[in-house]
Amino acid sequence: MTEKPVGILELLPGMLFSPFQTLRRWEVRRSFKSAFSLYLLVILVNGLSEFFTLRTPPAAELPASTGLVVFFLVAVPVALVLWFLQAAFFYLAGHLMGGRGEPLGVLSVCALAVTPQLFLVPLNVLLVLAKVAEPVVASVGLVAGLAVAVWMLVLLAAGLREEHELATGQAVLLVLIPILATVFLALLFAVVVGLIAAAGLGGLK
Amino acid sequence: MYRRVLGGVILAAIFLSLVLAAVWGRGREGGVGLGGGKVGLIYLTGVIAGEGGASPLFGSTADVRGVIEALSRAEEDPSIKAVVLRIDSPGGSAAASQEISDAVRRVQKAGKKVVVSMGDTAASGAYWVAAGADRIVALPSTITGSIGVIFETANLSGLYHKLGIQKEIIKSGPFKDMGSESRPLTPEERAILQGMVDDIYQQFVDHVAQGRHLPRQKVLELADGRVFTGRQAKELGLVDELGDLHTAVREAAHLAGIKGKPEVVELSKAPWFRRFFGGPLNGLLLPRFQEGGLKS
Repeated sequence: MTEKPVGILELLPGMLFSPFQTLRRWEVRRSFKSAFSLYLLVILVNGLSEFFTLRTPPAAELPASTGLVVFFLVAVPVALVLWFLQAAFFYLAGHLMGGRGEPLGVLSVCALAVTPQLFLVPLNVLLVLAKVAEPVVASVGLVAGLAVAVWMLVLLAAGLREEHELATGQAVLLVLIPILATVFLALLFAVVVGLIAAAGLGGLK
Repeated sequence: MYRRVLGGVILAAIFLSLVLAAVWGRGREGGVGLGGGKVGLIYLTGVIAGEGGASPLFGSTADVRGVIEALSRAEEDPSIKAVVLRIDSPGGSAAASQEISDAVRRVQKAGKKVVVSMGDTAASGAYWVAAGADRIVALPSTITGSIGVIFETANLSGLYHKLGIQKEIIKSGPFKDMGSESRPLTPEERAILQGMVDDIYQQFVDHVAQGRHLPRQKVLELADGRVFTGRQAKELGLVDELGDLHTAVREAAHLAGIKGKPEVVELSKAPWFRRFFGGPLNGLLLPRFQEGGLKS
């Protein structure tokens, strides 16, 4: 298949308004450069908008110049590394589950799945312009953030299903594995800390 | 084609949002927006000493380094449009006062207004710091003034004699132990120290005349070391306005062109260990030679 790569201007509305159809297209998942550009655009725009509008520490307490330096030197490289690690995990775990995805395809899917974060940019600005109280801003931000996070997971599952040619259930499981593992480790940690604390308190008797 | 146009429109909308966020986001909190801005509040409390630090454990000297760091933060933070320096200090080291005063000047050079709010006392070295501010607000009963310089040394030779203590001093020059407590000052030493006191006094007078826009002669008339109440100081031109901290914040916001109620941010929050242990810990961590005993 030698289809023409899809440009970022075509990817953007596709991922925002008809993501399932877009992710189903093979040439979209092979448009790695466009997906990477879109990923960079999303993390830069979303990060900058949060930096400009956040009123809570640490962003609000940092001078603008320092904050921007930290953002570009730390947050952006960290986001890129996490993206790569995430894709590596989904590539390997997907293959262990019988998937047939390609590395660049998985990387593209992971990049495209963050697109809904762009919805938060105008929302942040609207909240600032509306001059609503801080608790309202925090509540709306939390709900919107959670909604976008869930939507990103849905898109990730859809994209990985198409790339790995997995069943929907398998793709959902693949996406949930890291989350379930994190929850399990957190619970394990809490239990271990609890046991140590209990043993320590018992020793005082 | 239609999708590309839509993509372009979305991209333009996103960048427009980002620009709005940059202009209004931090602007609303006092960043680059018109009419916004924070007022930084910095406390200068206690005796001003070179390596001070207010501490519940080791007494109350002013946290000079903390105040200077806070002033630097105000200088660099674009959201801070004005600073209120709340002073409650009887003065202290001339050099340390001068150092804080220089930091105040840097804040002003950064285009920010500095208003001093005087508490119970803002005398001597504390007035040195205050004199450079754009406005001084004092309480009617504030003790201020005391423009002058003093150098003290005790002659304990009689006590040492009674105790049978004889101090042996080996020195590289005749004036190396100048001000030693084991003997009285010689006339030459007295002249040298008087010269130093006079020089610092002239610096103090010049600083007050320049900062308060007063004729030097008038400052000299007031600078005999006496203290004034806030109300007397206002009549003499040593302070601008009578009022409390609230008045000073309002004045700072007005000078900085901040519309509406300003957001006040306390800038002089030192790390917990410095707040608790104060200057002695700083001294232990950063040992240095202690010099001079000139106080203003």
